[in-house]
Amino acid sequence: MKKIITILCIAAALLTGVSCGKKSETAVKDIKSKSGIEMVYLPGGEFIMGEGNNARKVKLSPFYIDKYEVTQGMFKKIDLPDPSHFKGDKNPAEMIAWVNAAMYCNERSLEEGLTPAYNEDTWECNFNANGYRLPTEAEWEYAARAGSKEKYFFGNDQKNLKNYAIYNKNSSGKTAPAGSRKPNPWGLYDMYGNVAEWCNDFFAADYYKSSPFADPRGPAKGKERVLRGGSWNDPEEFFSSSARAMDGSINDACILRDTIGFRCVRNAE
Amino acid sequence: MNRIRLSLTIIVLAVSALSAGQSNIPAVDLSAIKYRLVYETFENSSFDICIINADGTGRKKLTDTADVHEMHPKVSPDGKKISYVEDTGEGRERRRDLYLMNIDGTGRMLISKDSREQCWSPDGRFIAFVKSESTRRFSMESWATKGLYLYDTRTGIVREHANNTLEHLYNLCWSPDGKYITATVIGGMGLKHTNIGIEVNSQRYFKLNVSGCRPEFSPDGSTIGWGRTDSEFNIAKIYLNRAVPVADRDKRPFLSVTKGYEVYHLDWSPDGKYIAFSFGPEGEQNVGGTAKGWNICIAEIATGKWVYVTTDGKQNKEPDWIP
Repeated sequence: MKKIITILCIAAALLTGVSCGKKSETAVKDIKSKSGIEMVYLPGGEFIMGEGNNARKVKLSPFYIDKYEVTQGMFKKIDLPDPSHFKGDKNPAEMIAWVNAAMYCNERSLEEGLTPAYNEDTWECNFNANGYRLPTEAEWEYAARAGSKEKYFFGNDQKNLKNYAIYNKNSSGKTAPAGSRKPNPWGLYDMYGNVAEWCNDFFAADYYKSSPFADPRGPAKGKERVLRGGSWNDPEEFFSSSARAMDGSINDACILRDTIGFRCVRNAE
Repeated sequence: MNRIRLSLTIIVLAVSALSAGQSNIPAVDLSAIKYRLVYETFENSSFDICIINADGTGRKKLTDTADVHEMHPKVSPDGKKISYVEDTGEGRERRRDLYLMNIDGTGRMLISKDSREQCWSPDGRFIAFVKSESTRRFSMESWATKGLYLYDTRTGIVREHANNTLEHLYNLCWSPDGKYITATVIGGMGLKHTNIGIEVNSQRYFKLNVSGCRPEFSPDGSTIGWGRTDSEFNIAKIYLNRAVPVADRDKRPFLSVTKGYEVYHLDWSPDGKYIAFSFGPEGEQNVGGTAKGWNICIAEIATGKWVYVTTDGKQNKEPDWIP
């Protein structure tokens, strides 16, 4: 009898603890940021990142991610220089060097009273800051997969790509307004195509062979940053949730590309 | 045996490249050049403007301020004035304003706030420049500019160019006939990254058919030089009255450096026989950018040979000849 009472007490205590402690959301949820930007809350979790021999299990903490790629209108709204080639307020910002994407993140953080994540002298990311930053490569793939294990978030049939992505067969040689195709199951638009998206990570081909299981953040140093998602200029063979790319246009104005843009994330509190 | 010969050849070539400008018999006889140069240099935690003889002697700082960066000097056609930019503040609070001073560094005067990338009209009356695009925060990006403006040195009045859609221009250069201003543009007016000519007295602009950065006219206006990449200069005949001012057949490589090094900031000597430029390990060529180990150099147009003018590597950039 004593044992039963003890078990009941422990169970009660545990339940109380859970209900009184900070409860983290378990469902994907649409939100609006303080400045009115549409984002999606992604609960933390485990998933298989990569494919084939490179596949490995990764665990992530919860975070918010932009529903759309950052648009030229969003740049204008906070009065930042926008070098985009294909003009249009609803089109994604492109010709964005990695440093300028990070700078946008900092300005958006200041706009919303958050602590900027990037040190503008070193461009190092403070992952403890509550401000905006670029997604880690793992966060990007987790968001793109949206719980799927197949090649694409819509399965394995490449024919369906046209419904979800702006790529070289349907782009007319330029970007399209953000959100012109269907979203993925978590409500994120243009995860494939339109503009390739900067991640926070430096690129290393073999990083995920030895990366940490929880919240991997990429190599400490490198010359190129990771790009994910492919662009309006890429052929359909390029696309998949695990396809990796990289670029060295981190801060060189002479090699800006009209195929590169980004979206922001921030830690869920 | 062939391998030994090859190795010896490589060593000889390497030594000639490394010792350029420092040997007893330089590749270019700098003492024959009568002109002086101004340039920016980084010393005591800030950029300052220096004046120097073409042979590297007589170096003198025209500005010497610890908390202010004086950069990007451009000498007036009569050699009496220097326009330059002055950066104050740090980080996002930094600002860049356009100034004018006498050739000896005296008489500094603000011309326009939040302004940059200036050049002189060939008659010395006007200074063309662009303004910073964002009023929210400073950007070091060369292309982060808006508009094209003309400062009248006689009246002090600034007026905007007739085409108020111009944006993201940098590397301005006024043609010797006074009719055009050339510029590099990134992501402006629907253009991706190219070089354009802008008519000074109309709204028209046109592509030069030059890819890369920073076209600069020779003094007679018959030729331009530009950076095709960060490691190579090209030279070409230019015909501004044609629909395509620079024909592909006229382009020729002039000077290139090996991977890991860069050349930038080309400027023609007043007699058209030489170009001055900056050279160094991979760095940031933009105004205010960090370029450790960079030096000012001079190349002879006729031979393509080049030598160092400075050797201290103190981020020496933006050379401009004094007529």
